[in-house]
Amino acid sequence: MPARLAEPPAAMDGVTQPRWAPFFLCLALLALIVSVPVALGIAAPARAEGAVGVYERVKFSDESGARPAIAGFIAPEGWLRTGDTEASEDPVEQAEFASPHDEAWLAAELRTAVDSPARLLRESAPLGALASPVKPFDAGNGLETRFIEYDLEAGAGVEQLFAVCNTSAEMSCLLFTVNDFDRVHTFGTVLPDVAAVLKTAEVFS
Amino acid sequence: MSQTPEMTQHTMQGSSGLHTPATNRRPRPTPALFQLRQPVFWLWALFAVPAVIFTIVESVMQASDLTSLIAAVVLVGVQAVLIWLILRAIARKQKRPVSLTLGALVWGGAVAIMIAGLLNSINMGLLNRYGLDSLAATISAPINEDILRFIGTLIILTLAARKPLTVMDGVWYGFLVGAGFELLENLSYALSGEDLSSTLSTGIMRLIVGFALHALWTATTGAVLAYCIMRVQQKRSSRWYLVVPALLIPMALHAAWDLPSLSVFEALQLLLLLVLYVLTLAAFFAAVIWGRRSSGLQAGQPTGQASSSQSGE
Repeated sequence: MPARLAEPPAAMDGVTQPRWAPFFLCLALLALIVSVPVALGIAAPARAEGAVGVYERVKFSDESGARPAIAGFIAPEGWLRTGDTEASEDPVEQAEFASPHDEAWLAAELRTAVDSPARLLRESAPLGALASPVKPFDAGNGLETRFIEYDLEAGAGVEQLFAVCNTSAEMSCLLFTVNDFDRVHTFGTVLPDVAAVLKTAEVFS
Repeated sequence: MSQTPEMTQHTMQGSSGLHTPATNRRPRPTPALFQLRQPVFWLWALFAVPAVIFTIVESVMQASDLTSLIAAVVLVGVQAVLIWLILRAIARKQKRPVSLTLGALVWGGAVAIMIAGLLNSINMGLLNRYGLDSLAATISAPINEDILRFIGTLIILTLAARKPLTVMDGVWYGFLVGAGFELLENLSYALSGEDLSSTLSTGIMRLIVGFALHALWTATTGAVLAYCIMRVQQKRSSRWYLVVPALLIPMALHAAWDLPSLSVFEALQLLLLLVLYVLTLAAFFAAVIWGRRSSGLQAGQPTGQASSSQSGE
């Protein structure tokens, strides 16, 4: 008789019995993490190229002055980046966005060695805006924010300039240019998306 | 780390070829990785074999040059030594099977990395269509990576449960799964540099910032998982519900760690990372203390419920 047939079968006690519960739990978890992206992919909406997503930060940096300056803001969600359509984590020189239906346009850049927000706005506005007053704006960002607005050309819409500045010895400012082509608001009001952008603005130097 | 000789199943035959008495032919329990009767072993093997091959090939191909490859390996080697020292400190004189230790490392460093990398890439593209690009890492990484490491810890602890488990077993194997993941992830980041300089800077930064985070998180989850399995072994109520927060809390810490910058002022971001690291360390130390107490209680129990440290595996 072969040796192995003479041996009693090895007893399978509780500790050697196959444990199927952990096995199936592992399979279920694997299936979950694989199936979720599949489902998301099926339900994913179409998205315009260059559209700004949620919590996308735009950064600026300028090391040319006596003190380096950094600044940034959260880009308006749903607006479209004009120019370079790819979001970048690197600092940029200028950022430009257009609203989803092209009714408004926003541009931003960092200015350093600024004397005052009012002077920056005057220097940046066209000559025809000399009569327009520079007004303070409570942006809720803890920084000094002033703006000027004007409507100089028929059909060109209202243009607003915002200067968001820190209060250090060498003042640096984020200069925002907003053009509201459809004139959906009256003088003195700010587009909600623009107000949200101003609220997130940061300037350090 | 402590190493133990493997115990293998065998039958004994005398020199005459006749069989020895049945009491000497009873197979001895094998608390090792290669428990062929356990389905989770085959799950491990199914993924581990191709994952190891894939990881080796990809690591070699990813290196820009031989010097960068050597530098990256050295940096990861330094981290591996530090992790080994941590393991020696927390485990003290307890011994665990080498195969399970290596099995945990392989799952974390090859399987979890490979699958998580693939899924994260897919999710990045999908989240982009929802406008969630900037939050892609925050959403995808904790879900995919933490669940994959949880699976690996569950597999290893299931195999280790051939003997009575302790909470420290969960800390040990969970830490190893996370350590394997972190070592290979850091190697991948270091190798992604364009030249030796970027390889060194990336490698050093990842060595310093968030050192062993994945290991710390998975060790915490592993402790609770082992606790629940231990209670099942002791025929007490399992308290499986504890696994849910044990998995979700590290996932939340992971998500917070991967958040996009809250400010352009990087010092604020570093402060947040520091707070998260302190919280992680606190959870890990709590798990280690719990593990040591559990091991001490286990050692004081009657015969038949002895801890793995006394089994002479």
